[in-house]
Formats: sequence, C-alpha cells, structure tokens
Amino acid sequence: MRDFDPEATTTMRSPVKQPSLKGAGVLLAIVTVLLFPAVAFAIPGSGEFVSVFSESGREITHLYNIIAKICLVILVIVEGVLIFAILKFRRRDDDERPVQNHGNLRLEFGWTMGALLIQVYIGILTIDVMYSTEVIPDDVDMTVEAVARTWDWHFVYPDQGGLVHEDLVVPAHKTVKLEVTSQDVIHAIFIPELGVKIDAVPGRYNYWWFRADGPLGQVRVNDFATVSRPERILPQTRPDFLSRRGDATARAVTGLEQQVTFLGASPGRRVEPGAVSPYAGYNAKEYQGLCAELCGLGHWDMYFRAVVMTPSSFERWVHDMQTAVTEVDGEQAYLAECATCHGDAGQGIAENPSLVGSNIVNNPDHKEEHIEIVLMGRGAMPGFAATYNDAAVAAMVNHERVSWGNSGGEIDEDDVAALRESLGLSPFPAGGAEPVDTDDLLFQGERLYAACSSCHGADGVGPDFIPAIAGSELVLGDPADLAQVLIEGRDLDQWPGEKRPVARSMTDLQLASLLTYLRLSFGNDAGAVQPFEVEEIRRDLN
Amino acid sequence: MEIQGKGYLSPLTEEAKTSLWVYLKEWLCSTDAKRIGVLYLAFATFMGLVGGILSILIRAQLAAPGPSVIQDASFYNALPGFHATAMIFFFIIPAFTGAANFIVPIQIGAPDMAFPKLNLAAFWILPPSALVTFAGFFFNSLPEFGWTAYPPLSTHAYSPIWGADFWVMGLILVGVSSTMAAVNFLATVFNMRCKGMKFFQLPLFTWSVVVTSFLILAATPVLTSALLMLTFERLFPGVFFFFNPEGGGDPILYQHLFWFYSHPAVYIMILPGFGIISEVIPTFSRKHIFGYPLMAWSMIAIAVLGFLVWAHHMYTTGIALEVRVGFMFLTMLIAVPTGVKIFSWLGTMWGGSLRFDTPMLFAIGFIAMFTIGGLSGVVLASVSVDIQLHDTYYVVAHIHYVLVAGSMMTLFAGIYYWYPKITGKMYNEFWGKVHFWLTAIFINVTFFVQHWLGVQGMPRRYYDYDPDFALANMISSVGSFALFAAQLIFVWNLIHSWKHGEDAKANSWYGDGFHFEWRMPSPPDHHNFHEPPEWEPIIRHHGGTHAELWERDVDGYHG
Repeated sequence: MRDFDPEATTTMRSPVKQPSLKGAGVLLAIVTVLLFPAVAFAIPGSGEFVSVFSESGREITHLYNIIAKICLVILVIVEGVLIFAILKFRRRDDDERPVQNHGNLRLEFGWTMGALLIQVYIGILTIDVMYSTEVIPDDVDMTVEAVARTWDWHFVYPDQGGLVHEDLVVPAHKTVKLEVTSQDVIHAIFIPELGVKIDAVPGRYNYWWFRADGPLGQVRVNDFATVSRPERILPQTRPDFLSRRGDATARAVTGLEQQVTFLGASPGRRVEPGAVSPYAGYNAKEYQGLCAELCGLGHWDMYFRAVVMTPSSFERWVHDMQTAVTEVDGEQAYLAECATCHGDAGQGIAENPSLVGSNIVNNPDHKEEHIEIVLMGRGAMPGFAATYNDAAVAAMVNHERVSWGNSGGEIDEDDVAALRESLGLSPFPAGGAEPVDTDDLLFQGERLYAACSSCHGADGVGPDFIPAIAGSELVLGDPADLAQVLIEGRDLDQWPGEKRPVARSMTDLQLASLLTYLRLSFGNDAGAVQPFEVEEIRRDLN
Repeated sequence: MEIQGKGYLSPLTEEAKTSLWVYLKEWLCSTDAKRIGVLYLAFATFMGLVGGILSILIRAQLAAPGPSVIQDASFYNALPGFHATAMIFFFIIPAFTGAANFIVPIQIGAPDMAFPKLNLAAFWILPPSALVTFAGFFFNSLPEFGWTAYPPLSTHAYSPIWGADFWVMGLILVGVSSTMAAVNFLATVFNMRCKGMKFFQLPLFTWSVVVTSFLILAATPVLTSALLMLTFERLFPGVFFFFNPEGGGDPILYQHLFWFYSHPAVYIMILPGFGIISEVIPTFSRKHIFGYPLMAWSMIAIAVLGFLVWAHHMYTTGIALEVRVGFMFLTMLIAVPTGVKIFSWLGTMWGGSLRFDTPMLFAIGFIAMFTIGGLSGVVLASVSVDIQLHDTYYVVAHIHYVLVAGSMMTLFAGIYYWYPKITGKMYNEFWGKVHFWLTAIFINVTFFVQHWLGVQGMPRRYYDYDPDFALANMISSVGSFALFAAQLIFVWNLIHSWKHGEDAKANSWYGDGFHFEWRMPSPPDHHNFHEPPEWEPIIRHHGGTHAELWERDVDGYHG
C-alpha cells in the first residue's frame, strides 16, 4: 500500500470543474435516457403478444408474460443500481481517492447462484409449455398438409378427399395437425395469432398442431347442439389506448367476423380496399398467415388466409369446394400463378418470355405443347399438373390464348386429360381433388388388406368356402359395386345375416387404397381408384 | 514537404521524411503491430460506413409500406445480407483486431507481435477479400440469400449467379485472415509476456483477446468447411449433394455447421468489447476491477458455453423436443457469466470516484443498453417463446441491442479511450459527448420499437409489410437515419482532432490509467519499450478487508 502523493494533482491535464447545477442537469439527462427503454419495455412489451387465438398460443403468451416480467425486474434492478452509482459516486473533487475493493466472494457467489436459479426456473416453466404446445395430441380431428413452394402455399386436405386449396381452412375448436413440407427451398409457415410456426423443409415433414378459436358464440358440440362459447380469458395486460386490433369479444356476428386486409401485392392475392373476402358467406374468422424463412424474391409476398369456421360452415365449405370448383376463372388463375413472371398483360417480366404474339400461344398446331408447358413446367417455370385440375389448366391456357390480341384458339378439358394420359400423369379431372399416386394407394392398401388376409388369404385365394379375390368378377368389374359391398357388407349363403361392412368407417383415401390394391394385386389388372371417385360412389349410395 | 510525427508515427528513413509516397509505403508495408492496428481501424471505419449506408437503404425502403425508395425487390433482398456481412466480417471483427494489435503487445510488455509478417499478411488479406465479397455490386449480380445463405436457396438452382460464388469465396478468405490473426495473438500472449505478467495478472482486455482468439481458432474452420461444401455444390451441380435432398443431402446439415461457427462469432464480436469496458470503467472510477478472477473465468465460461448452444438458432427446423430442452438450458446458462460481468462492472463503479468523459459515457451506456439485449436474449432462449418470435423483428431488435448497443458502443469507448495513446492528440471532448448522446438516444429510437414489431408478428427480411406496422417502422427508420448521421460526427472528430487536437499526456486520463500503455509516451515509440519492462503484480484482496487507496501515476510517469 503506497501513500498518496498530494503534489501529483498539479500535473493533471486540466483541473476538474463540475458545478453542481450542470452536473445535476447531465445526470437528469442520463436518468431520462436510461429510464426510457425501461419504461417502454414495460408497457408495449409485455401484453402485446398476439398469439392469443388458440389454446397453445395462449399458453405461449402466458409464458412470455412471466418471463418478460422477470426480465423487467432484473432490468429495473440493474438500471437502478447504475443510476444510483452514477448519482452517488460521481467525482466531486479531483483529489478523491476511493477505497479499493477487489471483490466480495459472498456477493459474487450470491449473484451467480441467483442468476442460475432464475434461469432454471424459466427453463422448467418452458419445458411444461413445450410439451403441451408441441406434442401432437392423440385425438387429432383433422390433418392438413401445408406445402410451400416459391412463393406460394397450397394446402391439401386428405380427410376431405384430397382437396387442394390456396388457404388454410379449418373448423374451430378442433385439433388440427399440420404436416408441413416444401417443394423447393426452405420456407416456414407462420400464423402469428394462432401461435403456429414451423419450418417447411424440402425432403422432410415437420409437424405442428393447434386448436383455433373461431367466430364467437358458435360452438357446435357433437355436431348437433349449438352452445354458447365457453368462457376464456385472453391474456391482455396492455392499456386500452395501445390496443391496435378491435375487440372482437364485444360483437356477436354471424358470417365473417374478422377479415384479413393485407395479403401482399401479388396480382392474384391482393386485397383491394373494400373488397369482400371469398369466405364472407361462411361463419368464419380469418387470420393472416405468412412465410417466416427467407426464401428468395417473393419471400415477403407469401401470405395466405388461415380461416377458422364453425364446424357446420366448414362442412358446407368442403361441399362447395368439391362441387363448385369446375367453374374456374382463367384470368384469376393466370394472375395468381403466371403474372409474377409473365406479367399482368403477358408482356413478360425481366428475362421471362412474353406471351403476347408468341408462336406457341398463337399457333393452333402448338396447342399441345402449350398445355404440356403449363402441366410440366419448363426451365425455371414450375409445372402445375399436381395443383390444377383439367378444367383449371384449360381455363388458364385459354386465357393466354385469347387475351392481349392472341388468337391461338381455345382448348377444352378433354384436351388436357388426353395430354395427361400421353404424358403418363395421373388423371386429375374436375372436382378439386388432387390425384393420389398409384404406388401410394397400393402401399396403403396392402396394409389395410392385412386385416382381410386371414380369410381371403395372403395371395388373394382363401379356403374354398370364401370367395377368392384373384380373378373375381366383382373385383374386376365396376369399382362402385365392389365399394358398395365393402361399405354395406353382403349376405352370403353360409352366413345369412352376417354382414361385414368393413369399409363403413374408412376414409375415402383408405377405401380408395383398398380398392386399388384389390384391383391391381393377385394377378388382377383393373384400374386404380382415386379418393374422389370413392367420394362420388358414396354420394350415389346415400 | 516535411513529414513529422512523434513516436511510432515518425518516419523511419530520411527518404520518408520528405516524400509522402515513401511514408505511405512505409505504413502499408509496416510490420509494426501499432501501425497495422491503425490500418485495421481505418479499414474497419470505412467498411462500417459502407455497412451503415446499406442499413440506411434498408430502413429507407421500410420507412413506409409499399415499394418506395427501392423499386426492385430483388435488390432489396440482397441488402440485409450485405449489411450483415459488412458489419460482422469487415467492421466489428477487424476493428477489435485493430485495437488488439495496438494494445495487446504493449499491455503484456512486448515490443511487437510474435509474428510481425504474419500480422501484416493477415491484414492485407482483408481488403482484397472485401472486394471479392462485394464483387456482386460491381457486376449487378447480388446474392439474395442473406448472410446465412441457407441451402437450397443458396444452391446453384435457386441462386444461379456468380456474385454468390464470389461472396462465398470472400468469406472463406476472411476466415483465413482472422485465423492468422488469432494464431498470432495466442503466440504473442503465451510467449512474450514480460517479467511478472502472470496469466492472472493480464489486463482484462488482453484476456478477452486470448479467449476470442481461441474461439476464432476453433470455430472458423467449421464455417470454412460449410462454405466449401456449398461452393462444391454450387460449382458442380448434380455431382455433389451435401445439402440437396434430391441427392440424399440434408439442408439442415448446413444450418448446424453454419451456426456452429456463427454463434461463437457473436462472442467473437462481444468479448473484446467486454475487455475494453473492463479497462475503461476502472480508469474513470479510480478503482481496480471488481472480482478480477471471476471476470476472467466468466469470459472462459462464455467461450466454452458458446460452442454448445448453436441449435437455439434452429428451434423451428424440427429438431427433437428433448434435444431442444438441452440447448435451451445451455443457452440460459450463458446468461449467468454475462450477468456476473454486468454485476462486477457495477461493483467496480460502486464506491468509486466516477468521472464522465466520453469513454466512460459509452461504457455506462453500454451497460445500460446491453442489459436490455441480454434480457431479450433470455426471453428468446425459452423455446416456446422463441418459436413464436423466431425470424421476426424481435430477433432483429435483440441482435442490434447486442451488436450496436454492445459491440459498437464498446468499440467507441475503446477508440475514445485509446485515441490519445494512438494519435498523441486529444479528441474534441464536446463533440465526443454529442456523439455519445445522439448514439445512445437513437439506438433506442431505432431498435426498441422493433421489439414491439416482433411480438406483433412482423417477420424480418420483408421488402413490404402490412400497413398496420407503418408507424413503428417510420419511427425506426427516422432513428436509423439520425444514428447514421451521428457516426459522421465521430469520423469527423477523429480526423479533425488528429490534426488540430491538443497534445495528449502520457497518462492522458488524469493520471488514472493503470496498465503499461499509460506508462509510456503518447504516441508510443517504435518497439514500445526502450528497456524490458517488469510488471509489479497487483495483489488482489478479496472482501474489501485490506482496502488501500487508489494510486495514480504509477512509477511516477506523468508525461
């Protein structure tokens, strides 16, 4: 320990002069600047979390609120100590010589352990929420496949006969499982208000689930009675003057309760001011969905609607989609899919070819080539064979062939169907259903058949008194007859009254798989059966 | 004309005294760590301004919804990636390397770095690699995949432009440069400490450079290998399928490799800053650092833990739940040593005699605002919350509170603190304070509101956005313009004061500077010390029982 040398002060660079008034002004400014973020953190930070419209979203919001409050307390402590130290220990005299203190073991151990305990506490809270929001429940009511591609989404509804749609439409208060994948680069599905986010990675499926709140006061129980909405508390700590979205709980509305007004700028999706949502006729509520992972040029423009309907509206919507999809607006389809590259008026953007006056579009001899390009894609252009049915492809092609001064002559959906066949693609007639690959049908059918093989035999030939499947006229004939037998069961002489309606509870996809397997195995070679055909057969049976 | 200069700034040959050209050549080919340090700092300042202009362009476009300043979404998409590249690889890391080059050999009592020529080579790789990285700007061939460059977006099929190949090559070169620098620092500190300078006597800035160098050495090869794999896949499409699922690759593999580098990179960018703050606060508080051993160990703990948390950038990629729980706890653990550092700085100030010159203002501003960045990091560590906030503006706010309010403010603190030592002149204190206040205020204006945007669900890297978010984006944009303008004051102050500032004393900070750099003239002479120095060990009493008073003007050197 050395003695302090008072003479040294005279060699200072400049004497310190801090009049108390000026010092106080500076300190006041410091305090203001430091407190500003702290206060701001407290008000808009804690209660504005938007994922409050699904059960799992509310859990996440609740967790966020707890963590934000813990952090706020720590922040206030740190800033408080800092401000206090600035005020208390500012240099009042040039000759001040503070007492040295190289550390305090108890204090240091204390705050290390304190920080550790808080972290562990937050971690344990989080684990709880993780399990309840991420593990897919056993009683999934519905599965939707979300497929991303540059820069668009489409949603496949396997439980609804393979319906394909550009928006995510689900019934309210039902457990919906999302199977998310991508056709090209990595995307991420993100519905902020429902607490849904998971990456769409090419080559693999990711899973997420949610139970969304729908329009209020319209909860259907057991598909029969309508009861009033169960009480739920939305975690909101924000003051009223900061609330941005209107309070939906105050209104009792039938029909569309909340409409998404911003869907990006792509010509097919843009929402014009005052436009009416395509779901206005249903009792539904719309949430904004988007892409969260950078995926290139149109990353910011991958919006979709997440529409949550009452179960009855949902049934009606499914029915409408399956019957009404044949009337396709070619122009709308063109604007949605083609205009990004070929331009609103077919003029071609950047290096993408113009369609105005193009030989393929105008020459009647090139009709087939034109259809083929739309189906299969060419170069950088993707093909639409899997997402658009014959009628839609025909409408799209026709729009190109007769607009903007083109005169290539129209085609019809039979042309598209014929070309599909010649290209070896699965048939995709109107009806909104995406065709399922025959191999997939066979694979699933084989698994279903395992339950039949104890009687009918692994090779389609069972004991004498059981009808053989191999070469059976019923199996090789009209699939509708075979389906009827499987759905309703059949009386046989050996077992009168002993009907076995094995397929009554199967989904369309399962029954189609089983039919396909029966018709294409054991030496049989009748055609495959698609889920949408089963759906038609079922409709005829009723 | 006669070129004059004191200390290491003085020309070495008679020829250089009269010819500016020869003097310049002497600088550009110098193996003196101090001169190389200044070159690093000048280069970093330039690249920082470039990165700043890119961020201004981004914020200008986002000021209002709809296409406005930038009509071409494709150009916009390239900007965030290049802004990040410029700031991370060519601004923050080189700036800290520059400061370390100048200060570390002096602080350990060495005449120069262990490998002076390697040092010069490491610097001279940087400017060409910047040219290569940014080559796309000259040929209008800009990669649009951000600085993360996730495949398949960054593969040949979706980014068929050679600007992307150049970008990847440039980053590989930067990796070579920083690896060379790291090796050099380690060799220097391990072999060239003066008598008495034991490891647990090292000034904390030197400690931070040691830890950072280990991080660079261990992490950079992983990034290089990921980028090489990407390059092979890009240049030979259809032959290599590391990341392309069509050929059996896995796009997630790249993300693992990338973040195995890029998470430690965050600590590469902040640890030297911690070191600087641990130098500045004792000087302006007239107190030795509080809890020195714990400060050193906490940096080591941060470095070790930093390697075990990379998957927290990938919570939404579909990693198994149990694995994410592990990564969550490791991530949260990092907050512990970081918190210890914050508390120890507060402990240093506690009971001290504080004087608020510009470096100290930046240090205090850093503690105040870095805490916000640290706490939003705790929020993001929680898996469920992070999934909701992933890739939203909340993450943007978090990273900028850590890197702007963290790395950049510490960098300013360091530059103001050592400016008298580097140039031999005092900077203009008034404009320094103006710079601090504008920076501190507009960092908050720019970035705080982005937390709110994030919880509202506005995703990052969006060219256009929901008009609902218009007001917050306008506030953020105005803040960023003012923030950038404030940095011009800084640059002007540095250049102007070098010429017109008053001469600095050896121990410029009222005689309170403690380590070796304050015990030599400002600026230091060539080869730093005239005779081998000896460090008189600081005996650190714990618990404040054997309290002594702060001594100034160590060894009676007040210049």
